[in-house]
Amino acid sequence: MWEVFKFECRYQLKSPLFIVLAVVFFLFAFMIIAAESVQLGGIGRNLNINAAWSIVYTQFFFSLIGMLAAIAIVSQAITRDYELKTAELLFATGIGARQFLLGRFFGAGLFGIGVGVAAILGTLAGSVMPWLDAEKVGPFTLAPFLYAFAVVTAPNLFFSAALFFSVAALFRSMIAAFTAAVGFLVLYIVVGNLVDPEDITVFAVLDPFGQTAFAEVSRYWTVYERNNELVPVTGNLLANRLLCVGLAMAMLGFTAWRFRFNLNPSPFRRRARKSAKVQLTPAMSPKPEVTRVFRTATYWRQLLSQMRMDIGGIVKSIPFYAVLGFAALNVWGGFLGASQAFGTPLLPITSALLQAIANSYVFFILLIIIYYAGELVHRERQTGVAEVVDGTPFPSVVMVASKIGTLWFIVTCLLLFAMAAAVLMQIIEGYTNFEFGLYFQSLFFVQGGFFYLLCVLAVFVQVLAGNKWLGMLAMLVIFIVFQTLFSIDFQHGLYNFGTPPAPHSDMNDYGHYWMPLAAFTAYWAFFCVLLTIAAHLFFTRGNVFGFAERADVARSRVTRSVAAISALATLAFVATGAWIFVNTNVVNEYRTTDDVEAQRAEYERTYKRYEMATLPEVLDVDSEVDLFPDERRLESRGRMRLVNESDEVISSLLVSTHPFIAVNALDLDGATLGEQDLDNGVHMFAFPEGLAPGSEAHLQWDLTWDHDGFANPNERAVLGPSSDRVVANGTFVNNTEIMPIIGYNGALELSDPNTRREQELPPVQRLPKLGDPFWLYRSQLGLARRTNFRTTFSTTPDQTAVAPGYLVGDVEERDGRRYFTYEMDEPIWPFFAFVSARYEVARDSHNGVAIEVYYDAKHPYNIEPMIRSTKKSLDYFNAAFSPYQYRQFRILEFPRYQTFAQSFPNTIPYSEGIGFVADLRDEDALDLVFYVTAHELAHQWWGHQVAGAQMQGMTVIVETLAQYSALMVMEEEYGPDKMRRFLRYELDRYLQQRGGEIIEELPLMLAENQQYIHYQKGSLVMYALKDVIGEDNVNLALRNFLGKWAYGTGPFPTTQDLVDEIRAVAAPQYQDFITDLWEKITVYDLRVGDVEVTPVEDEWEVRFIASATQYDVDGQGRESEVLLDTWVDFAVFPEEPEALEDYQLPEPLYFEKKRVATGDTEIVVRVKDKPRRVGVDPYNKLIDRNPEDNLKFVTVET
Amino acid sequence: MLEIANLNKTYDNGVQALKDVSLTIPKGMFGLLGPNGAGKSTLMRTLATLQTPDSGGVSLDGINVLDDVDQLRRALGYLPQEFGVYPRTSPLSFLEHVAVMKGVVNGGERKSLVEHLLVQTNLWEVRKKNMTTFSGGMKQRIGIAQALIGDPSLIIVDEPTAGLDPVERRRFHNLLADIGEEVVVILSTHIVEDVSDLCSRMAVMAGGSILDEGEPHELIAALEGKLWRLLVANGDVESLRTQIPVLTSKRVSGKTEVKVHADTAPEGFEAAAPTLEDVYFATLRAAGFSVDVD
Ligand SMILES: Nc1ncnc2c1ncn2[C@@H]1O[C@H](COP(=O)(O)OP(=O)(O)OP(=O)(O)O)[C@@H](O)[C@H]1O
Ligand SMILES: [Mg+2]
Repeated sequence: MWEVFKFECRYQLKSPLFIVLAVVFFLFAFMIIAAESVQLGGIGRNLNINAAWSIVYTQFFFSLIGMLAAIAIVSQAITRDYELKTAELLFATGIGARQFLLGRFFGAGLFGIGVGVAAILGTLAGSVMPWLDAEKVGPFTLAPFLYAFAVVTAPNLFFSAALFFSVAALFRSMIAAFTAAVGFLVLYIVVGNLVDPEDITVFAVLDPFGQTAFAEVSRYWTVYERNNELVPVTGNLLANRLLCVGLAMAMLGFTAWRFRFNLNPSPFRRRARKSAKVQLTPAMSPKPEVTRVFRTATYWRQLLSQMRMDIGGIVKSIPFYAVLGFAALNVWGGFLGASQAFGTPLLPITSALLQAIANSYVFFILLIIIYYAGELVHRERQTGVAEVVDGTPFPSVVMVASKIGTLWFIVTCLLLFAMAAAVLMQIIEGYTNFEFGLYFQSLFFVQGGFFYLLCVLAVFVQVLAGNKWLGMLAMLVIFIVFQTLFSIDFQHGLYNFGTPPAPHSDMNDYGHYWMPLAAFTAYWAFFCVLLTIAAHLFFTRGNVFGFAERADVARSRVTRSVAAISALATLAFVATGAWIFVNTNVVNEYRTTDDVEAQRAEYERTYKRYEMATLPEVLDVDSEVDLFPDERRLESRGRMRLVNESDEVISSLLVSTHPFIAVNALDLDGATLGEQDLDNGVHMFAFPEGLAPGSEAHLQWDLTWDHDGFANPNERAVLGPSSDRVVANGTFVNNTEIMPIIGYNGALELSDPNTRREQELPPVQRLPKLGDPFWLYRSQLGLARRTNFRTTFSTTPDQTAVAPGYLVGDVEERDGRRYFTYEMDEPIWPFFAFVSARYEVARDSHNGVAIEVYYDAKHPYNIEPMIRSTKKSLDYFNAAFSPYQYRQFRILEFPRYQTFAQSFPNTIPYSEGIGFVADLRDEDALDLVFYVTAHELAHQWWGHQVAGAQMQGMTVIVETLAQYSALMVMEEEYGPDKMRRFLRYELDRYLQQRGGEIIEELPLMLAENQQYIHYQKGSLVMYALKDVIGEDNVNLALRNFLGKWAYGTGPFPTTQDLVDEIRAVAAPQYQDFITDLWEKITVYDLRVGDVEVTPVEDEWEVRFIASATQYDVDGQGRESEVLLDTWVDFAVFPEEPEALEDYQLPEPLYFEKKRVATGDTEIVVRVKDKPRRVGVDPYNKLIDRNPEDNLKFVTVET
Repeated sequence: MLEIANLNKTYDNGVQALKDVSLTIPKGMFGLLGPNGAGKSTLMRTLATLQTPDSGGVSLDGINVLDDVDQLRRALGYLPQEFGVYPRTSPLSFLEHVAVMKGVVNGGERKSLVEHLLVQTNLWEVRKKNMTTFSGGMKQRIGIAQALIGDPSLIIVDEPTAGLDPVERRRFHNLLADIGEEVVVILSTHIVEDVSDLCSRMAVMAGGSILDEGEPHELIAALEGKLWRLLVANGDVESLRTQIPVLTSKRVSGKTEVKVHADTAPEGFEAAAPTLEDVYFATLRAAGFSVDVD
C-alpha cells in the first residue's frame, strides 16, 4: 500500500490538475478576503475582514466547492486506469486490490485536502495584505486558520473524497461520481432551503458538512462574537464532525470490501437486458450498390446522425435520468422553500413557479452544461471513435454543430422537465390556470436564452482547452471573472457575457424588460456564431501537435463561406452592439455603482450645509399629472404654496428634483433661480428681498419623466427601484420622484460605513440624537406642516389612476384619455402616491368608511382577508386609539418589482409579490395578508395622525406601534396561539439580523431606522409589555400619546415621550422592566434544567428547575450579566393531540406567571393529564438567544 | 495508384517516425512489414489524413492528398490499429452512422449495405448488442466492416488481423482478396504469412525508412543460394554467434535451427530454401537493425 501511496503522490505532484486547482482555490480565497469587490454572498460586510467567524465560514464554502477537487483528483485516481485502458496492466502486477485501492485513496485524498489547504492559505495570505482597510482588520491570530483546517476543511474534504472515490470505484465511472456530486449538491441545497429554524437541531447533526451545526451555534452571534470567537467543538458540532469522519470511513470500508480487480462491468451497473431473440444470419448477398452524395443536404444528414450518436450516449445513461430527477426536486424544493414571511406559502401561480425555477435552477444547469460540454467535445477522442470517424468525409463543422446541438437538446430537456415538474406541482396544489405561453417565453427565452448561449461558450472553451478538466476549470474561472467584473464596476452588458435579467410581473408581464433582453440576446447570439466558427476552426481532427499546427489547421479551414459567415456575424454583432451602445450610453446614461455612489457622496459634500437651513412650509399642492403608460412617460405640472412660518427671513432655498426627471420649467415667484446642478437635481433659488416671516411664495414646476430606448442592465442594481416605477401597467410613483422637494434630502446620503470610507466621507450619523432641540421641530418628512392636496391625474382609458384624497366629480373622458381629480378635505403630510393600472375593483364599506381594493384580474384570491382585516382593524383602532380620519380606505396592487406595501393617506399601494399571491388555504398557517393589511392601516394613525420628530426612535413611533396594532387585531381574530407563533418568527429574525448590524445595535428607544429593531424587536417588546402591564394599559398610554401629539405642528414627539406615557400607566414595580425593554439592549437566558415526573394517584406530580439569567448588551454585542428580577411564564404541556404547525404548542395543563430572580427556580405542580413538555417562558416572550431550551420533553416513569 | 514522395515526420518528442519515405503503390494488395515502432502506423495515419507530414507529398490517382483532404477521405477506407466505439451503441447503429458520415444518404441503400457488411464480417447475430461488451476480435471486425463502407478506392488497414481467431482471419483474407485487385490496399502487419498469402507487393520498413520494396517472390528469389542452415544443440548457439553472423535461430524439436545469410556456405551448413521471413530478417539485419531473439 505504501508503494501505491508513494506512486500516487508522485503522480499527483506531476499532474497539472492538482497544481491548477490549488492555484485557483488559493487565488479565489485570496480575492474573497483581499479584494473588496469579490464577495461571498455578502457575508459579514459588517465584520472585521479577518473575523474568525468569516474565516471559518469561508472554508465551508470552499469545502463545498472542494467537491470538484475531490472528484477531479480523487475519483480520477481510481477510474483513470479504466479510462486510459491501462487497467489490464495494473491488475497483472500482483498488488492486492485492497492495498491498491487504499493506497490510491490516501495518496489522492491527501492532495484533495491539499486543495482545501490552498484555500486556507489564500485566506491567510489575503488577510495580511497591506492595502486592507486597517480599521476593519482585527489582530492576527493563527487559531481560526488551524480551527478551519481541523474542523472544516480536513473532515469535509475527507468526506467528499471518500464519497466520490467510493462511487467512482464501485461504478467505475466518473459520470457516476459526477452525478452523485450534482445530486448531493442539489439535495443539500434543497434540504437546506426546506429546513425550518425549528428543525435546525436535527440537521445540525446530519448535515455532513457541518455547516448547519456551525450555524446553529453561531446564527444569533453578535458582531463582537463573530469577530473574536470560534464555535466550540462540543455538542452537535462535535457529534456532527465525528459522524462526518465516521461516515467517510464506513464508506471507504465498504468500498474496500466490495472492490475487485476486474474489467467486467461493475456489478452495480444495470445488467444487460436479455439478448434479443436470435435471428439466423441471412445468406450472403452480393454486395449492394450504393450511391454517395456530397452536398449540403448530406451535411445536414450527417449532423443528424452525429447528434443521434451524441444524444444517444447521454439518454441511454442512467445518470441523465438522475439529473432530470434532481431537476424536478430542485423546482419543487425551490418553490416550497420560497415561502413568504412567517412561513406563509405562495400560491402556485405560474409566475411564482417560474421564479422558483429561476432561483434554484441556474446553478444546476450551469454545472450540467459545463460537465456535458466537457464530456461531449472530447468524446470521440476519449472513446477512440475519432480514429474511425475523423478520416471520413464529413465537413468538420458537423462535429462542432453536433456538440452544440446536443447540449441544446440537454438544456431543452431540462427546461421541459422543469416545466413538467412545475405544472405537476400546480396540479397537485389544485391550480389549473396553466399559462403555457408564459412558461415557454420564460423558460426558452427569458431564462433559457442564456443557457443556450452558454452551451456555445462551453463548447468553444472545451475545444480551445483541449482537455476536459482544463476546460471545466476554465469555465469556472470565466464565471468567477464575470462575477468579479461586475463588482469592480465593469458593469456594461456589452462585455458581460449573458442576457439581462427580466423579472416577470403578472400585472406588467415582461414589460419594458423585453427590449433590452431581445437586444442583448441577439448581440450575444451573433457573438456565439463567431464562437462557433472559432470552435470549428480549432476543433481537433486526427492528431494535431502543438499550437503552431493547430493554427495551421485553423487557417486551412478558413474557406470562403467561413469567411463570409464570419464577416456577416461580425457585422451583425457590431451593429447590434452599436445599437445597444446608443441606447445605453447615448440615449441613456451608463453609470456604475461607483459612479452613483460618488454622485451621492458629492451631493452630500456639496449640499449638506443646507440641511439645517430654515425652510418655508408647503401648505398647498395642486398638480396635474399625465401618465402615458405605453410610452413610459409621465408629465407633472403644478404649484405649491410655500409659507415662511419661521421668524427669520429666508434668503435662499434649495429645491431638489429627482435626478432622473427632466426639468422643463421651475419657477419660484419672488425668487431668482441661481445655480442649477442637474446631475444632482439641485436648484438654488435666492430671494433678492428675502422671504419675510409669514409671507408666501409659489413654486411652479413642469417636469417630464421619460424612458427613451433602454438602459444598461445594471440600471436596476445601481439606481434602485426608480427604474421600474413608470411602466406600461402598474405605474407607482411618489411625490419625491415627480415633484420638487424643498430642502436638502438626507435620504440620499450613503449609509454603509465601508462605502462612506471609500468615498472619503465622515462616519455616518444615521439620525440626530434623541432630544436634539433643532430636530424636534422637523417631522419624519423633514417638514413641520401638513398640506392641502389636489391633483388631476390622467391616464389611458383602460387604466384607473389613483392618488390620495377623494375623487372629485366624475371621471372625465376627453382626448381619448381619462382624467381623475382627487382632493383631500383636510391637510395631509406631503407624501403622495400616484398609481395607475388596469384594475378590477372590489368595494365594501364599514361604518361609513368606503373600502376599495384595486387588483389585477389575475389575482382575485386574497381580497376577502384584506377587506376583513380592514374592518377588524378599523374597529379595534377606532376603539383603542382614536377615530379613523378619512372616509375611505384603498388598497392598490402594483407590480412585483418591489415587494412591500406602503401607507399613504387613505391609499395603500400593495405589491403583487406579497399578499396578493400568498396561499392562505391552510387554516392553521399565519395569515400574512391579514397582518400586512392591519399593519398598513395602522400607519394611518402611526405616521399620519402622529409623526415622530426626525431623530433616534423616529421609526419606532411609526413601525413599532403599527406592529403592535396589527398584533392586537390579529390576536383578536386568530387567538393568542397564532400570535405566539408569529412572535417566534419575529424573535428568530431579530436574533439573526442583529448579527448583521453594520454600525451598532441600539436600544429600541434609540433605534436609527434599523428594521430588525423597529419591526422585530418592536413586536417582541410591545407584546412582552402588554403581557405584563396589560393590553388596556398599553392602549391607554397610546391613546394619551395620540391625544397629546396627533396632528401637531411641532415640536414633534419622540420615543422619550412615548415611553413616558407608558411609564405613566404602569405600576411602580414594572418600571425597571420598561427600562430593560426600551432603554437597554437586554437579552435573557431562560432554560429548563432537571425535570422529574411521578404519578401520584390519578395525577402527575411535575417537579422542574428553571434557571434564568439576564444580560446587558452593548452595541457590538458584548454581554455583561446583570441581576434579573422580572415576570416569567412557567408551563406544563400535555401530549400533542395532532400534528402541530411550526412553533405551535397545545393548551397548557399548568400555566403561571411568576416574578423570579437570577438563578434557579423550582416548580412543583400537579397536573391531571400526562405531561409531555415543561417550559419556562415557553412562548418566548422574552428575548432569549437559545429559545429552544425553554422547553424540555419529559419522560414519565411508570 | 498511390504515390508517396519524400515523406518526413518528426514527433514533438524528437522521434523521427518517417525518414524520407517514398513509395509507389499500384492497385492490388501492398504489405508493409516492420518491427514495432518502425513508423508503419505513422505512415498509414498520414495517408489516412489523420495527421500531416512535416514535408513530402502524397497523391492518389492524381489527387494531391495533402491539399485536397476531402477528395481523399471520400476514397478512403481506413481500419486504425487502435480505435474505440461509442459506448452503449450497437454495431448496426454505429455502421449506419459511419455510412452516413461517408455520404451514403439513401436510407434503403444504406440499410442493405450495412446488413451486407454485418453478414460479411459475421456480426449479424450481435448487430443489436451493446458493443462495449464485445471481445477484441469482434470489435476488430466492426472496424473492418466500417472500413469497407462506401466502395473505397484506397483501403488502409493497420494490423487488421490482430486479435482475430484463425477462422475470422481466413474470412478477412478472403474478403480482402475479393476486392484487393481493383483498388489500392495497404496492409501493415508483423505477421509475415499475411503478406505472403495476400500481397502482390510489399515493403519492409524500420526506423522510419523503407528498407526494401518489391514483389514478395522477387525478394525471396534474391535470397536464393545465399541462405544456409544448421541444426545445433541449444547450448551451442551462443558460441556459434561469436564465430559467424547468425541471421535467425529457431527451436526445432529440441534443437536449434540456425540460419546464416552469406554468399558461401559456412562450415557444416547446408543450403536452405529462403522464406519471406528470412527476407524480413535479412533486410533488417542488412540495415543494421538487431534481430537477435535469444
Ligand atoms: N503521437 C506520438 N507522439 C510521439 N511519438 C510517437 C507518436 N506516435 C508514434 N510515435 C513514435 O513514432 C515511432 C513510430 O511509431 P508508429 O506507431 O508509427 O510505429 P508502428 O510501426 O506502427 O509500430 P507498431 O508495430 O508497434 O504499431 C515510434 O517510436 C513511436 O514511439
Ligand atoms: Mg502501428
